[in-house]
Amino acid sequence: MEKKSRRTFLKETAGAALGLSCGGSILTAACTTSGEGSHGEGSVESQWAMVIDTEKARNPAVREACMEACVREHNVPRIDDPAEKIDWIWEEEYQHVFPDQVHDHLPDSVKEAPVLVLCNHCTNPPCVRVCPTQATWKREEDGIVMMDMHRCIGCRYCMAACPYGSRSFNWRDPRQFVDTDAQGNFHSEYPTRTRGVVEKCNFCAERLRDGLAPACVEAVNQLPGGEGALTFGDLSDPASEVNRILSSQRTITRRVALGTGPNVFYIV
Amino acid sequence: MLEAAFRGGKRYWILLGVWVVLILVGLFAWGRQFTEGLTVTGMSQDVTWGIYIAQFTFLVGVAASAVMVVLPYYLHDYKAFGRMVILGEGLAVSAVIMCMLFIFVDMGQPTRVTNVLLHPSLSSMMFWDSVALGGYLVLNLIIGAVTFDAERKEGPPPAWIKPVIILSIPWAVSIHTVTAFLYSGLEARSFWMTAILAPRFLASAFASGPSLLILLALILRGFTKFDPGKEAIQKLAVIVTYALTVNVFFVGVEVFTALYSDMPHHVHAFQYLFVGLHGHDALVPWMWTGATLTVICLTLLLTPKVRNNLKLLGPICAGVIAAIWIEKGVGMVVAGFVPNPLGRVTDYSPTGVEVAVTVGVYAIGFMMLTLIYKIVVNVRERMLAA
Amino acid sequence: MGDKGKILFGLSVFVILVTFPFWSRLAAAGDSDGSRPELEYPADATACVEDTPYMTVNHMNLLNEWRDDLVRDGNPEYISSTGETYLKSLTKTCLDCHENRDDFCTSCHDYADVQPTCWECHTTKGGGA
Repeated sequence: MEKKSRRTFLKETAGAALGLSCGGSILTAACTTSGEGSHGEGSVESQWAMVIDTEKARNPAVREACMEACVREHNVPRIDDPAEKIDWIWEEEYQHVFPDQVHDHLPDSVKEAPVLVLCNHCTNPPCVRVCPTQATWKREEDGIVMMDMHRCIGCRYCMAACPYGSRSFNWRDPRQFVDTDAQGNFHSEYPTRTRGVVEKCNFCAERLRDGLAPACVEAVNQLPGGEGALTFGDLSDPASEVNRILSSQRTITRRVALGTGPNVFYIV
Repeated sequence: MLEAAFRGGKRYWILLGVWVVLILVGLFAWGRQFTEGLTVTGMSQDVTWGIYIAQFTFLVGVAASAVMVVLPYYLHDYKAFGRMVILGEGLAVSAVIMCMLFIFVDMGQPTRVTNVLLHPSLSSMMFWDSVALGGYLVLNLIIGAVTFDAERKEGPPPAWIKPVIILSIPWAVSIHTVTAFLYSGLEARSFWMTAILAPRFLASAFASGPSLLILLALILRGFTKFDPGKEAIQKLAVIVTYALTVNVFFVGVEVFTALYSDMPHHVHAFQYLFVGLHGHDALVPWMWTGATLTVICLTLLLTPKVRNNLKLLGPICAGVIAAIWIEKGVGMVVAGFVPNPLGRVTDYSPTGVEVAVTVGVYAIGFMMLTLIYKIVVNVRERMLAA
Repeated sequence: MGDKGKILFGLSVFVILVTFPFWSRLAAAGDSDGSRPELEYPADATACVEDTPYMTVNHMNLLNEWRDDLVRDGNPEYISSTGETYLKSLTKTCLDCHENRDDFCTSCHDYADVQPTCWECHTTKGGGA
């Protein structure tokens, strides 16, 4: 039996229950127009995915290297105040990343172990579903959950909808917090953001376009001892390295029961 | 008819002056927020919605509650509401305007507001909420203007308005339902993800909205020659009593489900609200105040002698409004963000700028309400004199 | 009736407020001598992606289209009316020739008194603010 996505289920049952062609067509339209193309399960042509080896990422140098590479690649502002901190890839304690995997008898060393987290580029992303302007959408050709900073109205509904805390809002102009070199230039040509928009990890869509791996993946692989801490690849390609790992090792994703279908996997 | 808004006694102009001053304070505060960003608010990466969205939610209820006078009057031909209906519609119009303004002031990029219409996303409840609210505003403006004009000319309203009025009844229910769906459709937030949220919203709306209407009617009775009628006010008090009872029941149902099942995700938000979580207890005094007010007001309302005493009804209605404002406007929105998806508890309290903007928006709404009611009262007083 | 004065006063306040954007700009334009700005054209390029008259009028629409094509539709290649292929990128294509944004974009935008927000986020080549 083919597993039906929640969206398809909603579409069909709502159409049937209403028994109204107009009601049904509104819902169908809802599902096909949103996100500039449907974003339900199986609607993308391929899907980029990441596997994080939590053991290899235990090494602080590995985590530092990938977080630093991301900050430089995307001109992420460095804001220390947790109320306004902008995070693309960062670390959290195991017990908070995998709340459903924690029980009272786990030692603190496990509960508090640092784990790298980032946007999961979900198969069924709630942020995309709720965005009122299609400023965030799931890209059909590669499954990346994209952000259009030009269109975002800053309503922050996506932040309420994301079960992973993967989205950050620019409470003020971020430019003054972005690193510059001696000449006053930013580290990267990647546009900074304006105040009042939401941002998050984009799986380095701008690098993928040029045939490069995401900055964090490249950084850990260049680090002695960090090779393989992050693996990136295409889920629709049976020969990809991510598929090889997923079929041969025990991996988990965050909060499976919610049905969002995360595409960042963890070897624990 | 409209010229009545430009003529009035000293008290009328002082009242308008107060609204204008408060609006200017709000505008000034919003100007600061616009230039510096939402950093001037108390919101954060963890609690991303605060007092603005909370007021929006509360006021959608006030707007929807106009149906509590429209329905008995037009569907059941309940004549006593004859002079009350236009007050309800006026309240609905100004409440919807305030709702829209609260959404607007909450936006990070307010200059892009038209994107909601230019790039509509039919799967977003926020899109449907803007459609529902916009439609409700238009419906009430048309109905209010047409029926009042007919009444002024002492003739029957045109026949085509009846279906429009009928349409406004389910539409009123829809605005608050869609507003509840904004929250209850989010798998990320267990506190909001409950099927009873929409019924609960409606119940609390039908308690707080008519309470506000009673207060306004009592004010008009006291300060003008226009009397919306004792029977109408007392009937509204009965409606408030029923709605508040149902709301208490719904909240109880929700609390039972969370506490009896004892599932951590469901318990945490209630813990945060009523006893504090991980040492964070910013909302605890608020929630107990709200709960106490609810119990006192409900007890008084359930006593017919007290409920029918118009002198006591005013303070009781103020209490009901305060209790629901705390439940919906303070607790409901903020607690959804606690703890955040990564288990962190972050307190929220509005800043001075946020409070000033909020007061400014309310002042705009109440200024509109003042103008609408002034026109209504003037016409009615003239008809009485004739 | 006796309201004529009040009506006229109210009307004139309304007209002045509504026309504010026009006359305030006229007043501001009085500060300059009104001559068109000297634009600095790239020394080592002979043609833009489309001809100059078209670009003068339509560059903002073209950039909006490029933005949606590249960011939203993953369609990075622009084929011009002369058949040339370009990358749809402000930083990587436009600024590749127009190296000095102040002498090209800004001077004309100042003259026309428009304030596009591109540079609040986008950087010049090499990451300049």
